Amino acid sequence: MSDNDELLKILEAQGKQFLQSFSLPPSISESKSSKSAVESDSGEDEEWGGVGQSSGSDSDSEDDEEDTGTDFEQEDDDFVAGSSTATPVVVFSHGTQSTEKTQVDKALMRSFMSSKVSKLRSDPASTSKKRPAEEEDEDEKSNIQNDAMLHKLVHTKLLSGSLDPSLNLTGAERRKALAGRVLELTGSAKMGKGEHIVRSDEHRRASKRVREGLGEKKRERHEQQLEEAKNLGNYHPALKKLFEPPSSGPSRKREHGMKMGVGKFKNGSLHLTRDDIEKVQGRPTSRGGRGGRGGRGGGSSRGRRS
Amino acid sequence: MATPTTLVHFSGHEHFRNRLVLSILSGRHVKIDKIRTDDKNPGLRDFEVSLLRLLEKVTNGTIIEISVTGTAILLKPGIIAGGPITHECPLSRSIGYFMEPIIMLAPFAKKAVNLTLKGITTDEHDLSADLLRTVTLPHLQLFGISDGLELRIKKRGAAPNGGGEVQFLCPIVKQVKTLNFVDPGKIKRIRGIAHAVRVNPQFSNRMIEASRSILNRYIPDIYLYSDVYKGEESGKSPGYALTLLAESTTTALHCAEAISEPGVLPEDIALKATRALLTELDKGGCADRKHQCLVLLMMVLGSEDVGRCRMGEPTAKTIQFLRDIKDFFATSFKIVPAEPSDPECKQLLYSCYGTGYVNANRTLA
Repeated sequence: MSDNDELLKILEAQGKQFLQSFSLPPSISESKSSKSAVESDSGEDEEWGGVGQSSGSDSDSEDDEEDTGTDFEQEDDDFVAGSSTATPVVVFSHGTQSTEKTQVDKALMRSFMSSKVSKLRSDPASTSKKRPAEEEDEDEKSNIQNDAMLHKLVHTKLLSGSLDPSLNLTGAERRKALAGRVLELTGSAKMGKGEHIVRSDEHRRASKRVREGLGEKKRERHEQQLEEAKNLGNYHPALKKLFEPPSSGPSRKREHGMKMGVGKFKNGSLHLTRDDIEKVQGRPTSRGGRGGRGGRGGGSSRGRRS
Repeated sequence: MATPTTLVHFSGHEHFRNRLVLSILSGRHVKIDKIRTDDKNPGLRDFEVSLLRLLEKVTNGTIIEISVTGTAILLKPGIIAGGPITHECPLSRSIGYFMEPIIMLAPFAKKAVNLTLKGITTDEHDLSADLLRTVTLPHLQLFGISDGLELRIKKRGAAPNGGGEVQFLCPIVKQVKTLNFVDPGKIKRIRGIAHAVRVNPQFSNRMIEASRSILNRYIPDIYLYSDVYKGEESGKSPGYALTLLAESTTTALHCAEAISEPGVLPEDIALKATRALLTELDKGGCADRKHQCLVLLMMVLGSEDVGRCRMGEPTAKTIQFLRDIKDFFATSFKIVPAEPSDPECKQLLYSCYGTGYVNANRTLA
């Protein structure tokens, strides 16, 4: 053990000698020489001796324990950056360009490497420098203004059905009203029909009993309405369409007149499309397709039987 | 002065492209014979035949007759049709060889040219795609052709295997503007493109470093860009190149480039390109030597007014081109020293009376 200690001491001395051949800043040399105490401290008193002395006294006691591990580690001597060093420190920071300059450089490169010849010699500096500053300010102002206006409209006019407190809507009703309004705004639904579509979708998704029940109720309601109208004297046979339940979508117009075998007869002449002619004449290519399908269909059934 | 309609006769394979272009523009038949008669492989080369095919695609109604041995051709030009064209260039010359005559013809087509060329994009014999895009096409802007003029480099392809693709879009004009460019100005900025395909991408950075070591002392505004293409778009062969161009205060352009050679360091290639650029700048003028022919042709095709341009001494190619212009268009240039008082200045002032060439092919829609 004592041999080890001696060897370590020799090593330390050698290291210190080597380090003293360089002019290290006082902090590093102080901590490295903190173990031998006074001589080095007194030598650097003029420059800075505060932390070194205090840390020297503290770390001496810890030295024996940490000797083996801390030869090459720098002990934390509580040195705070910026506290009195007499040597002025000048920092040359290369590679830090302001963002504006890098933007201009990038714009220059893009204009030079573009394939369009008209953009090759366009000066990006003159065009782009003024624009971003001004445009950004304008954009910000208008964005904030737009946000406020949107908020106001949304909560007063556009979605009033859902947010009007006087209606006392439940949560589900409010949700459906909002969904309906959104459909109307996007254009998927005609004005006023948005909520109706949302509710009818939900009805379609319900179970058979619920659906039948709802339909029953709807018919009852319509009957009631018709009776009410008749009682009040609002009814007239000409207004029959108004009082019957809503029909199932647009019904196709029934064809008037007597049909020919093929084609349409209009304006005194018979109009034949290519399909009509081929229906009568017979198509050579599709005949093969029909034959193939028939043959294959027969083959599969044959296979299954066997 | 009406241009005569007889046949023009040339001999030899030199200045082949310029003569074909002049024939198509003037509409006069041209006969070129004695093409490499004493050579081991006599007659037209594959790239010349490919060029004739490309001209057939670009024009409509052109009749090209090639003799049995290939040593003589007769070209009866039609109209320049334009439109969408695709052409596969042989691997013996780069696309710059094919693009130069097309650039001279494209503004006078019936429809806007949309040409796709496939082959080698960068070569030491001809202008590379970068030079074409950054220098040659801006020269067309001097004459009023700028809106819709594009050269897109879709893929790069180095020699010998190529694999590159470029797309050229050119609008049509009714008439070319008269040029009056007599002030070369002083150099205000230098730009460059260093690209490397299928090699270590650090090569382009090394070239940029080496080039900057010389150029930094002259002007502050120097930007050299590293163009990286990867994967499919980098072609089939490895290679790298540096293209430099200098722009003056009066928008005159000078350019130089150097392509990789086997066994040569990228730093040496960069130094070669930089010194070539400085030589070009020393010669001076409003257009550099590679583009003298283009500028002079556009001056001849301008409106019936005196066009002037100040350039350096003409190369041998330019001199023969001026003689051929005299044969086809019966126009000659007046060349005087630009500064008669200064004996050191080698620059010349070229002036000519334009022929008033109007693009009669264009669709008047």
